[in-house]
Amino acid sequence: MTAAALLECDAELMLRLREGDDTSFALLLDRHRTPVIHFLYRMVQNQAVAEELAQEVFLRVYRSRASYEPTARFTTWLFRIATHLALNQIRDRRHERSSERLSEDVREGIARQLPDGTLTVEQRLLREAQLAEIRRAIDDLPGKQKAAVLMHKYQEMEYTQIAAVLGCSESAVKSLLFRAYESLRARLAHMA
Amino acid sequence: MSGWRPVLSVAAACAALLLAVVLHFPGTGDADARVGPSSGSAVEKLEAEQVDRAAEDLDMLRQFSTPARDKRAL
Repeated sequence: MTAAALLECDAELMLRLREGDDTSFALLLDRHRTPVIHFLYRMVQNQAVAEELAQEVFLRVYRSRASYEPTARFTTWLFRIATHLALNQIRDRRHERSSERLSEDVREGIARQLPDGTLTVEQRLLREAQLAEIRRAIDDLPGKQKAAVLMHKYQEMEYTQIAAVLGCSESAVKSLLFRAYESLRARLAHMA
Repeated sequence: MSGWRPVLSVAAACAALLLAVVLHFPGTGDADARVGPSSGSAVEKLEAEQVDRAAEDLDMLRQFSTPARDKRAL
């Protein structure tokens, strides 16, 4: 199925949901839940919070079904809601540091990358440090820069769509990304 | 002394019986060590996601940790 056909299907499903077909919502949920959670996790760096926020995202989608109009891509709308909720969460919990959970997730991720244990202890520690460094570097970016980076690099969204999600111009998105990538390069250059 | 022999025999028999009972009915051990139904599929899914995230992040790191071109930085 082509990307265009998939996008049409999203709008079609939402229109059916608007007409009362709840099974269409289940299909949308199944299709988009994982990427939304992934995005939210990288925004808030906490799996449990990411899942809660994802639930809220889809709850808002469902509540808005009666007034849905396919004026933009469904994923644009979806990520606009997700970004809004994530930025609010970050703003509200700025004093909390999830570095402990970050470390645990990094360790778990490393442990499962090579289950046959071919990494030496030093290599494992280095890998953990590298992952922690990149994740902290992204996490420390200002909210909109972080959202733009995550959508551009991890969700592979185009500038136009990122601009629609963030409610700004395409040139503003490029500027956000330029500043974010310069920050990341400056921070990570020592790890070459 | 000969009067003690039956007593000793009975004592030995009781000890042997006690030992047999202990061996036949071992302690209950840790009654709390019960393993409930495991949510294996959920755990496996989370593990796979963690691996995916690690791979994505390492790719990001490779993209942004380019060697410094300015020799003054060396």
